[in-house]
Amino acid sequence: MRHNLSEQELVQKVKPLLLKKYEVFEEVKIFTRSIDLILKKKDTIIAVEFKLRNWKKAFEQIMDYQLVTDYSYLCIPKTKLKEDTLLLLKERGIGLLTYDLETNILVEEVKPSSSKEKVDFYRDYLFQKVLKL
Amino acid sequence: MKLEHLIRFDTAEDKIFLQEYLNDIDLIVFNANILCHQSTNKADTLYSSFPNKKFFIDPRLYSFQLNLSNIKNKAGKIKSSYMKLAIEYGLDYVIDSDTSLTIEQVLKHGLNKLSEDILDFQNNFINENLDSEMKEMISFSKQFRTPEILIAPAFCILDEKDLKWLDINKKLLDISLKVKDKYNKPLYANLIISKEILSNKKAITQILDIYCKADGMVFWIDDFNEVSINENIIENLISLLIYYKQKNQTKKIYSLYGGYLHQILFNFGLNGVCHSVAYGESKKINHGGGIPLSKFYLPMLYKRMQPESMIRLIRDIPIKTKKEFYEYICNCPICKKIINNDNIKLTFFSYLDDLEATDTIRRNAKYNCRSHYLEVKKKEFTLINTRTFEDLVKILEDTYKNISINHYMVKPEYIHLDRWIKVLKSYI
Repeated sequence: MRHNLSEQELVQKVKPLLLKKYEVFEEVKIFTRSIDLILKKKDTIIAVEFKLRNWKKAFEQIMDYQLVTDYSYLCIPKTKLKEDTLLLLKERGIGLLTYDLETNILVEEVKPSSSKEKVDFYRDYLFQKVLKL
Repeated sequence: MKLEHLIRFDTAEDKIFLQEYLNDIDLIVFNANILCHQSTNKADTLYSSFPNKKFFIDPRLYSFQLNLSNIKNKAGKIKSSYMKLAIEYGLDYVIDSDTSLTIEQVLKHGLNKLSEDILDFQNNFINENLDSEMKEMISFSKQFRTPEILIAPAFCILDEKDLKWLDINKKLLDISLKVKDKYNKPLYANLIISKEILSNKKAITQILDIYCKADGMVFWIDDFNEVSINENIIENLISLLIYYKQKNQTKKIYSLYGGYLHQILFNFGLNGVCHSVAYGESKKINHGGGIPLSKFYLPMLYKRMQPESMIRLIRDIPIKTKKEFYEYICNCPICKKIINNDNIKLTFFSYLDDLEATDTIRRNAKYNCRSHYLEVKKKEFTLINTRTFEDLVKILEDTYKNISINHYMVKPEYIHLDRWIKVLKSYI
């Protein structure tokens, strides 16, 4: 399904909804990546990658985020994903958030699992970076 | 005969690295535009920091033939170094009109004048730009330095349409061969082509037959990324070398941008390979600069790695001690200095650049990645010069097998080794 909004607009629509539960940081750069949103709640940091299409690219990016965060989500406009895409998300421990443009409701379709990719030292480096933002 | 190690002097910061590794370098290569930036400083550096090191200058005439946005700064203005170069070559009208040089303009300009100005630049620019005190001192000793070889002015040929520039290049070469007597130096042809032209047998034969007239040749193949090219492109490069050497057994041929694959091609007659202090093993011709990010050069793959890939690799091998790091990743003196305890994640952090990190983190990563890269390159050139071609291919094969069996990393990270091996093995 094609949407008339940009990824950046999607971020701006979703961000206020996340602010109710988390501290939110936009465009956090770490090594060669720039994470769309970092959510922080106490000692936990979560990466959110926003995509309108091209899930494969999103998976590559998120795998890098999983090295440095506790959990990661893919956030997309409300749509029905193919079974194999959902399976891939679950296998890789990536959560899925969908945003309904009409109702302004954000739903956690898939719960993320604690990142198996994570390397604590570099996760802590990102955490310290976020604390200074 | 040995494979010569050429390094490009790109920025003032390169000086400290070049000094450190001076004994391992055969030739320093200056790009003409780089010399035009802080000219006095560069000229003095050549005398004071590299007093005996041979050098030559890449004239980079083609910069005025291509899209001028490649040589503009962020504000959309032509970089001052290129403005100065244009004036030196008498091409300031290109800058004034803000349009790339055409064949008609070159002919109107006069090929004799262009050749003479470009060779004169290579021979004299450095000495003309010395600090007055330094100049006086050198005048007294009469020890003025000039390049080891001169490079013929040439335009690039990136597609079949560009072959119309070949006639201009031929004439520029012919004139330069006459003018060179004035300088009493060998004159090398300057081959700047795309992979498309490299694969065009008829075109490449036609070009090489003309360029063979010179005393040697330097070449740059556009965006020849050794990690991503296919087997056919490697074959085509080998064919180029074989063809050139069949016609010019005693003449030298240098690659201006190349990595380990080029180095191995020493077996096919390549005499030297040039890279930068900060990698520069391949480059797009029709392209400006980008944001530099220091990356760790992984010796086993002969390529620079993204920080994320290195973090993953160290985790997955897995490397728990410094001894294991030296065994599986690198045991160069810089790695031994940096990875000095078993807390690998902490110590390896000194190699990781992060675009938004503190200046100290970025500076450390830059210095460490460069020093490590130059140490590994030194080792690679020694290996090429001391082992047979068969040995070198065997080393590649063993590395490839080892990585495949142990699943250290995903296949796209190391598949280039398989492509190299397939081609190189067919020549054993």
